[in-house]
Amino acid sequence: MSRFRAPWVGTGCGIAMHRRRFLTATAALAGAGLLSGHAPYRQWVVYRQTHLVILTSRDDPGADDLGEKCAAVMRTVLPESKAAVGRGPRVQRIASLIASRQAEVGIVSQANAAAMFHGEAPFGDIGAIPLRVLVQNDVYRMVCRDDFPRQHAYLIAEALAGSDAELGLVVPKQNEGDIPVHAGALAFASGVPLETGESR
Amino acid sequence: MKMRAFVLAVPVLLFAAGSYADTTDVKTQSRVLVKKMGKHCVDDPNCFNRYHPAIKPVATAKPGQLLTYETRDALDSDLNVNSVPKDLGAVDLNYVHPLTGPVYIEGAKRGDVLAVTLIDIEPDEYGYTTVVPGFGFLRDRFTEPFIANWKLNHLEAVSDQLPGVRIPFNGFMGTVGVMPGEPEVDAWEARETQLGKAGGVALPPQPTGALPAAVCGPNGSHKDKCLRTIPPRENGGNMDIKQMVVGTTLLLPCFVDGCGLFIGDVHFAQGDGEVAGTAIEMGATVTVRTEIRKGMAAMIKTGPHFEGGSQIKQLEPDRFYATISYPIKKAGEIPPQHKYLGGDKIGPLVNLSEDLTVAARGALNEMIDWLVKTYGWTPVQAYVYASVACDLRIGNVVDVPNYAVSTICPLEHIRK
Repeated sequence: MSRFRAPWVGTGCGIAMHRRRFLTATAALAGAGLLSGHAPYRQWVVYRQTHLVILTSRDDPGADDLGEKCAAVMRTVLPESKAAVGRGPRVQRIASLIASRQAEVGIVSQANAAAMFHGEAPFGDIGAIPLRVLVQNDVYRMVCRDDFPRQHAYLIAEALAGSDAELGLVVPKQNEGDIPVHAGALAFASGVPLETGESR
Repeated sequence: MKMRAFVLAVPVLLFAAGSYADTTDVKTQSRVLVKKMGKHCVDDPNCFNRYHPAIKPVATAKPGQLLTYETRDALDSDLNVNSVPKDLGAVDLNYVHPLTGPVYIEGAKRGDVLAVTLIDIEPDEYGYTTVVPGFGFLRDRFTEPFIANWKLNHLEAVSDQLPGVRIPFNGFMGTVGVMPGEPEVDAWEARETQLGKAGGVALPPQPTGALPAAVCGPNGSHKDKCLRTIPPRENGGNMDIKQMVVGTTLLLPCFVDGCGLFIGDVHFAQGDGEVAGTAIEMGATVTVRTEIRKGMAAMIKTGPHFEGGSQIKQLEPDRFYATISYPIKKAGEIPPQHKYLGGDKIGPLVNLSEDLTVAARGALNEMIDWLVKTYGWTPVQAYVYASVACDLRIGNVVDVPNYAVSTICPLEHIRK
């Protein structure tokens, strides 16, 4: 377990504190979603915001496989995340769910991530989505919305980029013109500690 | 006995005649067919998923004509016989419910009643029952996704997820109704907004995924006024009444000229309550016939009526087991259905007064436990069986404070 911890996390209650923070942030996120009026179907949203649902699609088995591996790592490192894969029929479903705030996180190819960000084909009907990158490998990107909680992004990046599960995931450097990297993931990559009580 | 005599009589008559005519191509009735086009609702000009009077009819029919609708499953899904629970995590509720129509019924005016007699349902070969976390009558008990995939034919449904169970075909239109008028849209939206502000489950207009896009989509002409299809209302819609089987007649009040009759979300079978949140959901081809009852809509105020004959008897079990419960719960428990009202008063109470919801939850929980113990099922298998086969029935609403609700499960469908 210790290998998943960031260098600044000491022994003892570090992971436990993270778990508590994850839960706190999850509850806050769910509440924010409900109050914002964007929740299209509240009962379903409660599940999707009390579990870390990682969206993948049936038309991209590689993304689905990576999603399962990421969920397994998350369940080990942060059991309270209750990470699970939600598999849509096509990659457009991932865009639709994230765009309409029914879900938070998805794994798509680098090309599809760029197309979703810019609202280009095959996502033209959905429009540009304010995506941020959490982690990526040579083929895929795990993406979320720009308002995804900073603490969540930090902990996901910590769990996945810091794991030795041969996922090959890293927090990318920010390149001009590319999809922005989430501030929480960047904070982890920069070795900035997550402050106690920080929720975003 | 009568059936046996008929079966014997038919070959005798044929033999006596020496030959018989193939009548397959003989048409004696005109039919309007509203076809399903494309894989999903978004591909189909005959499909929509929101209510608004600006949605134009896709066909016209005369009263008395046969009217056939090709319909899609409730989620407009890509689920299939190999689907697994993780496929539910990415279901997009913006697409619920894909409905076929609306159809303009000639001569029907606002204030009339449209009588819709269900003539036939042709089921698809695949159906599903899902447990979606956060949804369903016992959503506090069943918190993980589950799917039962059903293989369907005209006789029965079977599922690898419920081995030994054969559910007979008792199909009905889960969603059937007519278009609301402008006054209804305004009134219903206002009351649902009020409920939402009070913390109740209310679904505001959602342009994303809304069809037809020209009316209800993000750039649609009425995007903020298109009503969601999940709640049933005075115009019918997602009523999920299992007694509305072939041979029964649904009476719908017309709010717009031509009524705008639509159909979708057909169920292969369902228990009274649809407790897990879904029945055996499927696509189907549905045939109805309509009749206009002039000026009768004033009789229908709270919701549609329906009428029929002996069909209702066919739904009763041959052999059953039943549980009974009252509005009694654990101290501190606040059922999810009551949370929006606040828990200060309800929470500490063990006995609630005149509360059918808590009584029904008790009877259903008790039945699930009995099914698990008796048949060795998992709790979620029992929950699914209850959703597709068992009936919640109100026993009394007078014996204060303990109104009684029973769960009645047919046993003849279980072969173990």
